[in-house]
Amino acid sequence: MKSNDRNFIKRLKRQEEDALEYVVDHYLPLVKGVVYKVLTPLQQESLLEECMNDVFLSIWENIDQFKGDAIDFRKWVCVIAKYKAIDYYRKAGKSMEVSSEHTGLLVEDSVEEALIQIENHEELLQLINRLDAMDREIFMMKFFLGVKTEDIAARFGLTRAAIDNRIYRGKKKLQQQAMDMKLGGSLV
Amino acid sequence: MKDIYKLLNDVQLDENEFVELEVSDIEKAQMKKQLKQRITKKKKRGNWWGQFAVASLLIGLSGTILGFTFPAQAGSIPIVRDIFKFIDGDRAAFYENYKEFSTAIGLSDESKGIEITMNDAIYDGETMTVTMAIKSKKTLGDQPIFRHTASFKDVDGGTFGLQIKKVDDFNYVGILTAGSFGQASKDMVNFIWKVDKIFIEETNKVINGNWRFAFSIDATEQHTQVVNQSIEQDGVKVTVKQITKTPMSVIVYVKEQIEQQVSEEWDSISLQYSMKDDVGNVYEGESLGGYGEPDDPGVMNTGKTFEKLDERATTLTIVPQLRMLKASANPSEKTESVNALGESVISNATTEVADYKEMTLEPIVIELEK
Repeated sequence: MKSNDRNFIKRLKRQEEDALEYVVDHYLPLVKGVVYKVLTPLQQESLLEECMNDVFLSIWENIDQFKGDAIDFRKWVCVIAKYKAIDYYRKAGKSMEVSSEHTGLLVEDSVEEALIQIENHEELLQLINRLDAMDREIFMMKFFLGVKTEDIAARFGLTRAAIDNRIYRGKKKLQQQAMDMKLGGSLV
Repeated sequence: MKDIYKLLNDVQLDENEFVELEVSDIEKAQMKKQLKQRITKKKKRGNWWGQFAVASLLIGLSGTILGFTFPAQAGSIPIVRDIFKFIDGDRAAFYENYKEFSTAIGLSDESKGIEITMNDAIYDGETMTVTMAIKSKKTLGDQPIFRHTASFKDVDGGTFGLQIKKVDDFNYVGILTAGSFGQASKDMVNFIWKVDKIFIEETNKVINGNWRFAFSIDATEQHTQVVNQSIEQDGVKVTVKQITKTPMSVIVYVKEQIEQQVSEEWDSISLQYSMKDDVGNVYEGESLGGYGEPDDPGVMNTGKTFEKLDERATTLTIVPQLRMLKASANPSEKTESVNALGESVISNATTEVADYKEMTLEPIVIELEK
């Protein structure tokens, strides 16, 4: 049996390789669009390929975490692509020795960068898991997906100030929890 | 705890943000091929023993190498074979034939309790690739960053890349590539490499040391076929000038000419090309960089190294693809950031991608000389 638009998610979950081929055939243009938008300014061809590759591998390895139908799947793919691309961007920026005119692309302010610098995503994730659903989504958008505050505000129908406020309070909460977890003062 | 991929499930991003880009069949095939390699390797490597065996063999290797200074013996230690592939595991196919034609180097230098040993090197007339083993008394973390300078004697400029991979807390392997496209001698190079700082990310610690290497290496055999076939489209001309076959790779030499009108319209134009043959192989490649021509700013001479050709192939198809990018910069905004070595870096402007376009040119089909 071959994968088609009705069964590919099921087949992915069963780790049938042809389902991964189906996903590459149908979602590569989208993944490429997302990854290129973020990483093209770095002008490192190999990074683009590696990142796209990583996106598909993550889909394959984490398909059990996915819930929903083909429409949800499309969204999930976009979000993973964005998450990975930004992760690559940050890592590349970190290891670049020579100053690049593009380094400013995603940098908003140092406190937020510091939050991301928490060595282990796992730890940040543990903390984020303690927030309520809405704050959690705001934090995911802000820190893992690089969404601008204005756009987050639009998404929730709130003002920019309200989002900033929630982020501020959320950060305080995280900071407190980080200290409880003995992560030290790496948040400030 | 919710896994990051589960959390990403709940995030709703603006759909309009996502734009699809054109993808060729070659790109799809290449992606599938690489993914399959990664998946099967993971399956095979699934057992704990596999990793343990590699690790302990490498400990054995770095332990043994101390005692030898004779290149022949260093080179004959079987695990060295794997450094080319081990390091660049996802693209192992690219390094398929490298070990076979490489020369054993067997040079070591120690500083601050960290010993670096050069194992095997190979030079194809454009790129020198050398593998190394690093043994440290204290751990260097998961991904140590080396500050290094590499050069070919009597050659100005070049491109250099270093990849380091952890084997265990005290052992690392690395692969260094160095090239000076179109400038170094095709027959032989004198190579010099220095490392002065190693940065451990986890602890923010910098180790200042002094590791130096110098050796010369003869190029592998090369066979050049003059091609001079062009394709011209929308103000862009791409010429495949020649292809050079070596025992482990094939190097494609390309000249790109971009009309002023096109280059003025975009901030950045980059040319990529993929290569396939008539028996169904898609080749993986690595760009070599390029050089311009002082009299003609629209001209770039570039090169790309691909994995070894299938002997059954009679034609090669090269598909050039252009990526054009317009950036919107905000020059008044300066940003300061700190790089991996704790040095401050000031960048001039914040940049965002304002427009992006891709254009695939007609393929260039080359009849291979037998």
